Amino acid sequence: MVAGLERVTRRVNGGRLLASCAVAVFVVFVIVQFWAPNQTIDSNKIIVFLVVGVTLGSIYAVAASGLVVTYTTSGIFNFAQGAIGMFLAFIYWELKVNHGLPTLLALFLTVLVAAPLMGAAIEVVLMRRLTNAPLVAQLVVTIGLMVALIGLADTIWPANETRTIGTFFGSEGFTIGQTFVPYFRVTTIVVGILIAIFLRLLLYRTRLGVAMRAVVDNRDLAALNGARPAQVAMFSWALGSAMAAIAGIFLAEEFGRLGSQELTIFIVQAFAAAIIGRLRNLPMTLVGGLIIGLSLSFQRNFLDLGDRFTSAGVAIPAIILFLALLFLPEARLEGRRIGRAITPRVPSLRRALFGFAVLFVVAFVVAGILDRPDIRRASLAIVTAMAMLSLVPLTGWSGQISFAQITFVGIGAWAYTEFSTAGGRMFNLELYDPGSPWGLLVAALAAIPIGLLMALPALRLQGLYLALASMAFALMAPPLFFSQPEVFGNTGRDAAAVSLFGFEFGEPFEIFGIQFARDAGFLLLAVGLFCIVGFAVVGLRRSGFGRRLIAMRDSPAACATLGVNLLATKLAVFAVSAAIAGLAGALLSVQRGAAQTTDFDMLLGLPYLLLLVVGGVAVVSGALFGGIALQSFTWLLIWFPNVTINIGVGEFNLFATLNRGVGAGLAGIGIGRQPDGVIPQVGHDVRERRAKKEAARAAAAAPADGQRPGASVPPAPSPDGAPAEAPAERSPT
Amino acid sequence: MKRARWIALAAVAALAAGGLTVTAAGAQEDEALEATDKGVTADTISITVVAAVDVPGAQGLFQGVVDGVEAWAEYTNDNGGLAGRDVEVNFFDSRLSGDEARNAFIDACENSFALIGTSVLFLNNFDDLTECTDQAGEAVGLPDFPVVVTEVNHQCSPVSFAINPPSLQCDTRDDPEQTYRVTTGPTQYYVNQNGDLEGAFLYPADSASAKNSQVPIFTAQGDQGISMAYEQDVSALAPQSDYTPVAAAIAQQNLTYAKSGLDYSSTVKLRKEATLQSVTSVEVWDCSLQCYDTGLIEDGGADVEDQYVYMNFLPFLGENSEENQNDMLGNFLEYVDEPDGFAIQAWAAGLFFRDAVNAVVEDGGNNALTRTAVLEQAPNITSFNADGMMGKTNVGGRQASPCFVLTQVQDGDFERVTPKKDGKFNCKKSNVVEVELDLIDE
Repeated sequence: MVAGLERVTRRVNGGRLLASCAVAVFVVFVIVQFWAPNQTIDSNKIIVFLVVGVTLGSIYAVAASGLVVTYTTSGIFNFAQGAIGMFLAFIYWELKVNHGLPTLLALFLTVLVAAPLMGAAIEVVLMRRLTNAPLVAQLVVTIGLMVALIGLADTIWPANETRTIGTFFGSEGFTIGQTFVPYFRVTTIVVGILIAIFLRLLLYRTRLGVAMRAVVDNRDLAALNGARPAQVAMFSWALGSAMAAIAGIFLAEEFGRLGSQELTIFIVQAFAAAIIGRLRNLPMTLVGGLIIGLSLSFQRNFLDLGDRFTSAGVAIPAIILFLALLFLPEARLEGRRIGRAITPRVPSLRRALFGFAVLFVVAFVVAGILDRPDIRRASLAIVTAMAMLSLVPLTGWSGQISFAQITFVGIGAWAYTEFSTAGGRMFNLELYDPGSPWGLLVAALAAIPIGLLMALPALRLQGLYLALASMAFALMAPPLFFSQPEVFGNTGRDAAAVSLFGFEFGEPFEIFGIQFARDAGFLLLAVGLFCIVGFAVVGLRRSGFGRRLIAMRDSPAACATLGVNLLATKLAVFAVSAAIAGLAGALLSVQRGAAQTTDFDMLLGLPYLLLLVVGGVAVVSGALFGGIALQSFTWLLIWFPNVTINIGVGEFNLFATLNRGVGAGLAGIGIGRQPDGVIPQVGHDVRERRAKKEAARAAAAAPADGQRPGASVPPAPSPDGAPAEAPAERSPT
Repeated sequence: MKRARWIALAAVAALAAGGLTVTAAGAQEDEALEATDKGVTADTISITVVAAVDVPGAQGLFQGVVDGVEAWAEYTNDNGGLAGRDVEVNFFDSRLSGDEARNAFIDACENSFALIGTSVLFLNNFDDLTECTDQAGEAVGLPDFPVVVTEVNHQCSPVSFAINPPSLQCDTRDDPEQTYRVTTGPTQYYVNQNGDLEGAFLYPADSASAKNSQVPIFTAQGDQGISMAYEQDVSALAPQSDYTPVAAAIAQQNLTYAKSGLDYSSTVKLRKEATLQSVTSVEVWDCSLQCYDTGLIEDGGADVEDQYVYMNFLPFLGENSEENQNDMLGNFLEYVDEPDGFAIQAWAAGLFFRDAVNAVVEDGGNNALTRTAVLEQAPNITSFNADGMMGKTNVGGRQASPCFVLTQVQDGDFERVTPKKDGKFNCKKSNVVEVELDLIDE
């Protein structure tokens, strides 16, 4: 059926017609279903909603323009655009309010000095290294930057103090109809339009603009033609930061008081505007911003989103983003993609089995030593690692970037509470006892259809666009699905403890005279399941399917030429990934004893990708590293609660700051230096050192043995008889 | 602070001389004190305050709760302690993590006698409170006297006694329609003064549970004479321009009442936008305890003039603080450096705990202090008023209080409006009304 769908979509102009129909049906459905029956339309209302929508839309447009500029000129989609704008808005407050500088001077220093410096510094320190890095590393660095900047802003400007920047022109303005339009909003609208015109002229009518676009298309060729890629890229980021600063300041005016989260998240909603502009068309980006602003404005009057859709309004930017992605032309199959610096070594099954056995023994010892809160933290680390594991085949091997794992986790949690907690009933049949391990399996299976649903955009989209589609999917799920009364409703759902043959895994027990506290059994269950699933994932990697995934990642075009069914392969890997995430969700609900909508917010899923990539996105141990790393910030704060540092602007609690997101953010930023992740890098370094020693030893022994000095030693066959992989090599990037 | 403490000690000494007692009954003074339960030694009673403080984007979210509990413990110890012992406070920052909140409960179950001022978010499983074991290993529960109770499971936990009881009647939580008891005293006052009003109501849009917390209040107000002419869901993260349609609707429909069910910054944005749009029809700008915050006046300035704010405590902010009317309020202000709505509720939670402990001691002496005994006594405290600083509230019976004080922002300060006399509450029984609604998804 999906293949048929794909054929149809190709036939009718790349699926755009189908997408148009889908959108039209959706819009008609929404209007028919939710048209507010008691609302009347008059010219005054229209003016009000136009003013509000155009104002908001202009802010979205300015923010999105910055995104488009940096993407067009550096090829990097900057998730941190909102956070940069937020940080610079705080700097503007610092200059204008805290240091009492005149508004124009503060504005000049922020937009034309601080912002360009910040942008240039980000380019030089972080982004320059990412030019040839895999997309996932590029995204993770910008996400890391976003998280770190939020944490840093929270540390420098704690929210317990009110900070306001006032408005340009105070409360002066004019009236249209019965609506008062303050000048500060007019300023926002005018600046939004001027920026779009300025950027368009800059990029397409000036030599610098041509150079900026040329650098991203082909850096070397641009250099041969006299452009200076390094300076041009730096200028692009400086310009993008200045756009972010303007958006941040306008937003701060509207919010009344500055807040790190509000400003950042608001600008994240501008992604849809950038996509409407196809990440290169600035006038269309302005239109995109206005579409978002006007949609948000008019839905308040014309859609009656009560009862079960109370919070649906917050999903509108995500819905627009998703729809905009549907209209993108189908991605062409890529040839050779940029390779990784290191090819992670695939362990033999025997070696993997040994590794998992060691992990289980360590968990057994730890479970006997730790107190209950630490056991629960360790359990959470393992469950998180399981969720991260779901990304290893999907992102690590097949190159499909997903921010929607948290949604699959939520589906698994819901399925467990639905089909296991309430008496193991399914479709009025009592199939198994409450808390039966069958419930975990059902949760994993329940996530598969949603995984396949998410795979549908993946049939048309890839790379960044697929990542954004998955982000939109994850943003839509809580208000539109999880909060429904049939799912988690407004009270959440209880989750039964897992039990097997009468033994409840949450209860205390004793083995070999060792007392295990409550929840120790659950830790061992979670570790056991992680080992089983991890072992299966290693097996999958060694199978033909695993090799197909790697091939699909490295060169989809070559794969298709060789007859690999890319469609089936993509669907299969999404299904596998969703099932693992669903299992993680079931375990998460058991670990917490309940599950609710707020547990599955998109932002809570960002660390999954962030820290998995830090650990190593293509290796199982990377998931384990990521899960433990995420929890380690909490442990560090508990163990060392009073360690302080001074970063020039004051003294701060080190581990509280790291725990505020700065730690995870810095780890993500660090990926810019090691795009392959900690585990593959460490493994590579160890092997390289060992190889050097062996070579030196061989060289020393060569005269005696009669061998040529420096002769290489062939790799020994692996213990399970499979052909041993070549030692990790640096690819010729 | 030291100077303030000395002043406070002198004040307390004066109060004691006047016959006011703040310690437990003194009849057991010669009794050898023992460790009677987890968290109770011969010398100390350990209590834990679990609150979300270091919250990304909202640092110091419930810092007031921590300050309130710590100040109450300091005050209590300065005045002879509880049951002959000093009160020791452990603070556990749950940040925004339900997992860490639960870990805090687990830790407190082993190491503390009770929880005071609990203010956690995103936790839906309270089994560790109800199944907590005592010194003898019996699952008696961990006494919990919270300030913030957002989840139904917490509101209806048998061991939890919120200082401001939730409106939900827990015995009806499984009914097709649940019963909610809501205080409408201020509404009755507004209608008496202005006649029937037509209102604009703003609901929190970010989650169904946040909205549902306001539905019973707005519904009850509708029954009492403020018709709901305009209603709108607004996100807590909404910019001020989101309030333009609201202000325009108020102006166009000549509405006479407006209230936001979100935090005080929402009220500030609404009032600022209403000023821009020249809204003049509104007689009553209404808000409850969340607006009794210096931030309302600092952020709103002249735009929030005439804002009504009602609450169940005596006014304690600014020049119109009524510390002279009530000794305990004076103590609160002496011991808490930055008083706010959370701090005063946390202080009151401490006083409620004190009353429960004193009741236990009166019955069985200082060594009768066990979790079981406190949990037996707490439901009997049905007329709690925090030594007069708070309107009478049936905390033990988990019933919303009929009492209120109505203030209004005038010249940048909260001025008492009704009852007119300082130190008094309006506690008419008819202030509380019941509404039946189905707001729980099961």
